[in-house]
Amino acid sequence: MEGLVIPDMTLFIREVSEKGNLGALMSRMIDLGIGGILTLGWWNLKNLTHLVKMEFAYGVLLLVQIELIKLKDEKADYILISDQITDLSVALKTNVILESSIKIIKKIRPTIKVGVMTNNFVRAVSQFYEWGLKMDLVVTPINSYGYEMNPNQTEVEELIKMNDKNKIAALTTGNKVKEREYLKRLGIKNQAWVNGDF
Amino acid sequence: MKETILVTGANGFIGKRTVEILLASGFLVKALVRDDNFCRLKPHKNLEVVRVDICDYEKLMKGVGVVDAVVHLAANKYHPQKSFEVSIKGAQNIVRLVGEGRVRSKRVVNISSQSTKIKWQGVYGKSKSKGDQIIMNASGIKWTTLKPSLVYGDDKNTIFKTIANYALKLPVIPVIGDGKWKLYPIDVDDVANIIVKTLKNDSTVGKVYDIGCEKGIRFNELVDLIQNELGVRKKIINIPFGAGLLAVWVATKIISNLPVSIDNVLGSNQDTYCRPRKAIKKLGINPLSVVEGVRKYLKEKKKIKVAIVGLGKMGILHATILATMDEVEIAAVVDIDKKLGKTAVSMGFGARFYEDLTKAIETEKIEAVFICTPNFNHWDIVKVCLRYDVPFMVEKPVLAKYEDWYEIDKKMTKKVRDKSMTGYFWVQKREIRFIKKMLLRKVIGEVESYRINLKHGEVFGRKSGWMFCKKLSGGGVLMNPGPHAFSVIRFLFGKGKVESSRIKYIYGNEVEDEARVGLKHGKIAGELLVSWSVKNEPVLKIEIEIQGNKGKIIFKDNKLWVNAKRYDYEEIPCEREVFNLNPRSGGDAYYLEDREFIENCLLRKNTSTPLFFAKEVEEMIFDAYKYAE
Repeated sequence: MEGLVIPDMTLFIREVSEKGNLGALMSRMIDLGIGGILTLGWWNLKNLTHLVKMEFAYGVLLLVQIELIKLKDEKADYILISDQITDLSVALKTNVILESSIKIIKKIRPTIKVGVMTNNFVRAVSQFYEWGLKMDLVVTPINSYGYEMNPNQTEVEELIKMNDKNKIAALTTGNKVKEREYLKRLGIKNQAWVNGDF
Repeated sequence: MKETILVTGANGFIGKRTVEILLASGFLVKALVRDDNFCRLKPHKNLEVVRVDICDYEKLMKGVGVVDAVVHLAANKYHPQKSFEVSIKGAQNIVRLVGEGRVRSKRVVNISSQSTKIKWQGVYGKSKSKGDQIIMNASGIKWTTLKPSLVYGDDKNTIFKTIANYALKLPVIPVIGDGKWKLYPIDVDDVANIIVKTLKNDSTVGKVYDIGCEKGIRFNELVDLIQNELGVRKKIINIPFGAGLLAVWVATKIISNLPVSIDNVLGSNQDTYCRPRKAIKKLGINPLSVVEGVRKYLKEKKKIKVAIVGLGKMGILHATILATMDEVEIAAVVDIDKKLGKTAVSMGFGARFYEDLTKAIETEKIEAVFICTPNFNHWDIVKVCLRYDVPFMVEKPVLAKYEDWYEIDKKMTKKVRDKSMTGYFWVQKREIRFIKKMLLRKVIGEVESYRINLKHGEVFGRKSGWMFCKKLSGGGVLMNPGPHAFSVIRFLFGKGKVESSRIKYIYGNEVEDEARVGLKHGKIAGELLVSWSVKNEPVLKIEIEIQGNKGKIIFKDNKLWVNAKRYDYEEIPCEREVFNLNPRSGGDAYYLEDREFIENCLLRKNTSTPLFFAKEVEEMIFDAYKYAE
């Protein structure tokens, strides 16, 4: 299965340091062409006051939307919201970005499955519940070393046990036998590699 | 043998606490959780999560198996169709489970609501009433129905927190209706305890109990009580019931997740004649009074008040990390750029924006400052912190001129010296900590020499901006990414004496692009190469090679070799639990340095990079410049 991860925050941050926030956003918007810009405008009619006030969450949402328009013809089974966006939302306890992104993705690509990536699985899942957010997949580091299984390996393992394993994908660093066995023991069938198939 | 209790609606506000108390009381618990949502219950050896929809009997039967008793909490609060489906089908399926012998004792504690007692009911009240009737009219069931009044707790959507939020953020507090109706708010801990006690008490079978605190309170009085606790005084505006109902109805059609529902308005304007004393007497319980409850959940825990100065990339990064720490209150965000201030305030830290740190410290009683501005501003901000005796955490390098350190030494109090620190995040990285441990354990014997390379692909031509102006930045690659490498050297080997230094200006900029520095730490000889003009290195990289008399440590490309034994990066454990914002750019290291600073301010723990550490790092850098001249 293939998934698209949006937005590419690392690239965006690099552009921000050269062009500034507005400059980086504008150059991406211009790439969309007239049709794309009009779509973006339509989606953001009711967010206009927030955008004029330069509210952070709506700026990030705009970035997600731009990438969504760009990738609208790309074939994929999943669209995943990047870990930087998810973890930022969880840290700031703001559901605007995730909720609105999921809504728009479902609207424009009703058949596609939507998920998130996170490096803070336990905290994120608890926050998703509080927000009433439902998603088809959560991609998170799961490995026999406990690397990036936050806050710790035991809590992540226990939470996995209590949840639907089909909705969890392990972000792994390799396809070693040891890792495969570990995931099998946890009942995780989905493995993910960034920039690759999963 | 331990009894097994099925809890429906276990993922909800009351359900979650009930599960915890049942487990603490020694029961085995089967927690019923909807299959389309993530479960947030805390793992326990006696807890089994059953992920099925209560309306699907076949799956319910298979998932539940046989249990001893049922606590029935499942409900859908305000959805016009699902509410009825869950209440009616859910109740029917519980009755069927009992009927088919799947509940050994036939005992069901049914949690209803005070909203089933009012004349004009909303969706929730009507659907719950229907569900109650199904359970209470079924034959062969040992039921008890509990009807709690408003249940409060630590959840931000519960009544005390909602009123407190309005009192703190709105200019007036809107109350729909005259606010004279009486309510009997009850702590979620008490509700969960009552459920467990009811379960154990067979004399409650076939009875309905109101659940609430002993002495009721009028709504307007509750608002006043909460305002007193918070130390605020806002005017209560009573909105006529009809107008309020219409406004909420319209708002629910436009806004999702509205904090008020039609059921709330209906429920809060009709007296339910809640009579909790019967249950209090029967079960021998002593629920928290409203005053105690307000104190329990609204009393502010001691938090350290922090100001973030500089709202660029680093300032926002630190603020976001700090937002995840319960013991921190970001009270002020400071920058000369108002636009950045607006954006930072909109991020929801709850901080006020200031253009001037002095004003922020005086107004907000700031206890710690994060300095995240460009280098050339550090000294001015540090001076403000010294004047107000406020500890600070400053991004590297601390100063653009080494002479300013003498000034700091003179003005610094013990408090600032002990608590302040510098943001050398490489020192917090797990691989560097691991290397330090190996050196302390003498795994490679006595260290003889080392070579460290710092590589970054950033400058490949003429550049503009403050970083390339020597007067503002203090220097080029040695001064800017350079402190990362020097801090690692200081951390692993102590302060070194500069024995040689050569710097290169490759692209004609005012500041240097590459430097080679030779250092000596007693018998240890060190070599450092720093360059920001290395092609194909978009992310800053540090490579380390340490030669000991019994072996070698090599750290390169996220791989570590200790005496030829290879450790993958993932194998090196993180020393503490973290909230990781971005592992690819040192997320956990940033979290760890912020936590160290906060803990040092609150608990006086030692930091890895105090100011004297920074002074020694910067002395090596300035010596390298001096030597090169």
